Amino acid sequence: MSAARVAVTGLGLVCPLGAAFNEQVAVLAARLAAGERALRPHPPLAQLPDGGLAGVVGALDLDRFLLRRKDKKLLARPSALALACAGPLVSAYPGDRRELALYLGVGREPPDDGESEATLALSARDGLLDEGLLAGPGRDRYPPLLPLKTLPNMAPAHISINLGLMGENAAWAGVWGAGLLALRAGLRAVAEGRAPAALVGGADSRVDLGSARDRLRVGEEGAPAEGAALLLLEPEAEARSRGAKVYGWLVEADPAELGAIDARGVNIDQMGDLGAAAAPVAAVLALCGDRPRAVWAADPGLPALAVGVRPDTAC
Amino acid sequence: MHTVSPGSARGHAGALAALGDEAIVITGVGVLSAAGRGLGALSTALRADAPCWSPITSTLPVPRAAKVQVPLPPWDAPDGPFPDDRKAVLALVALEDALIDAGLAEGIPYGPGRRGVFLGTGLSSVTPAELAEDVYPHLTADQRFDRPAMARDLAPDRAAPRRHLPARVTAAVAARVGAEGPTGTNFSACAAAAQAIAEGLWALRRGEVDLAVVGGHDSMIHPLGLLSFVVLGALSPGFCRPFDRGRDGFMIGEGAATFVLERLGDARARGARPRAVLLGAGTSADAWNATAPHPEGAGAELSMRRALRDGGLSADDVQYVNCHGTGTPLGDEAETRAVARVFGDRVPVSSIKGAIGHTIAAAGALECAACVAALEGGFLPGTVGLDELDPEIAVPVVQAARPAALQVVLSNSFGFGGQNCSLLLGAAPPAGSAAP
Repeated sequence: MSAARVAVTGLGLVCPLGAAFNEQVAVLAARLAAGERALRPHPPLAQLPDGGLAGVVGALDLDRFLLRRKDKKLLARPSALALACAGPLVSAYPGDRRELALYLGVGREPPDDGESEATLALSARDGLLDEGLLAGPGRDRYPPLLPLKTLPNMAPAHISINLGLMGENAAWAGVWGAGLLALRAGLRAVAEGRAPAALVGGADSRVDLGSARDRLRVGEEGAPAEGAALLLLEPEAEARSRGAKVYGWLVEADPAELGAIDARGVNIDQMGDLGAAAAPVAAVLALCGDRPRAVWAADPGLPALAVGVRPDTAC
Repeated sequence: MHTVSPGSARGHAGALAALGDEAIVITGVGVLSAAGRGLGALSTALRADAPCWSPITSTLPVPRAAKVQVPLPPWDAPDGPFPDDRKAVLALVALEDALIDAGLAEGIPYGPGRRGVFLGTGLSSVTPAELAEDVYPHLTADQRFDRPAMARDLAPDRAAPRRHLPARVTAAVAARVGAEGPTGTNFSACAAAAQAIAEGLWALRRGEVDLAVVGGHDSMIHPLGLLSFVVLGALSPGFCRPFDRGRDGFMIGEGAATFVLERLGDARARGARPRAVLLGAGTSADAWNATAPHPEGAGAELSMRRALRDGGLSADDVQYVNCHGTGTPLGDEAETRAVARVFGDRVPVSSIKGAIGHTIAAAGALECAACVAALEGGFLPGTVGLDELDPEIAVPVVQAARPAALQVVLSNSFGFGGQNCSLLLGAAPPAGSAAP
């Protein structure tokens, strides 16, 4: 079976510098290229020794993509970022959403928004968890749906639920390598014919206190950040036949053959460390460049992965 | 990039003939479950319809759990390599057993760049030890958390920062097998391990690797893990009774299963014993609800149909479906409706979760292991806990294990949030034959 050439027909970026889709991404890329920074003091991190700078995304446009607005309380931050990034791309996709695949890179399990604190506090005795208290007053204060909020796979799940995607899918977890694995999985699924199209990328948020201090304790560099980036992939022949704009192509890549971009460090001084969103952000930005690049990433203790990005000059 | 698929439907023998030496076979299995250590222990328990759970002491309404009872190395001790992380211990013990089973414990005859690792993992979640070490020291007298003090507490020697790295077990497994090829950690909830196994299949099929170590691991039998399921209303206060008229939730389990995947030709060249063939895989999403499955099992149906398509087989080729079958009122009914649409009322189904519990992120791996046991041992696993079949269940449910010569079976795994995966497995080809 020969592999189809995989075109990128949609770009989505929700990052500390702002949100941009399709042609708008080039504008945001130009701002980054001009040296614009989006790191700001983030009050929850003010006590951290690095001064609490973080790359935080502003208000998200979610309501028009949520089937039920009350479900917003079920969205942990990565889920909200992912849905805000996916919404415009999926809304514009004319194909069958039942077959649209979704591969998303996600980070560590997201924290809740403080909902569990009462339970934890009420369950403490002498500095230890007291199971009797946990089963009594602690349990009474634990929101029933909170466990679902803190599952990393809820980011792709909420895209699926709210936007109707039923295609092949997976949630790949890690740090910088997770988003890259999602890009590769989508590339292969489309190239091999297992999916007629795929939404691929990553979403992560590392700007809560717990995540930020764990980053410092394991020695990760750069300010914590959050964001999401997605690419819509289709076989080039099908994309051309429906008249879709092609921004470029995802290809198999050897970093030694193409100019390599380390996803971990991409724009880190301007936007911070985007974690599982870093590689997809790098891929989206590379599609606005003028030459092929290999985006690569390696998680702690794991081999590097890479994917090739060939931009079209139209972006 | 190249792919080798079985082609059009020709049954198990036809699929193997089409694949030839390119068939992806399981040559090593390592299993830790409430049934014990090893595939033999799981097979024995399933043949005997043995309930493997035991009573647990919990202040929460969780009377029993399916816990791994065999002795384990103390790697999750405070001074161990994986402090406060039992699922890592389960994964690494299962890995060693899989390597021994595959004859690879002393060396792997494939280049490091040709070895891949794909594992499904579960929540690290906050444990009592983490609370004691990292959270409660900052609880003030007025029952609030002192955030500035937490921010200043950056001691690097705590377990929590590393416990919460999702890929840490994958990294440990990759280091043990010297993998420098692709690796991945799947976090698709209860479908995680099955999706990881699928990725290993596809990596081998496209020629990206020569060896894939795949599987899953999870352990949430600790107070905050149990609380999560209790508040969701997912756990049965009594017994897990898949497909039963009175089913009311699942029983929590824990475990790990690890598999060594290779191409048949490579396996035979080094004298390895294929234990089963991994024929295909399919995934899908429900696009329905965060807390409940699609009532008609629409996503489940897509997952099963995609696995059949990926394996180049038809529904008529399948002789058994190992259901996700958690024992929840909605889940079992939705799944069996989907099974009925795909397979009619011909194919027997069962669930092993009444025996070894719901092992969450590991479930897809342990149930894949159960399918290998069924194919090798020639039996249909029964459904422990099933007393009175729900009349709404419109497929033939195997209540008690019974002998059956199986060639092709399918295993379902469905996750919270509506992510699904189905694996299609076949009996190993006869020794020495290029194709049956």
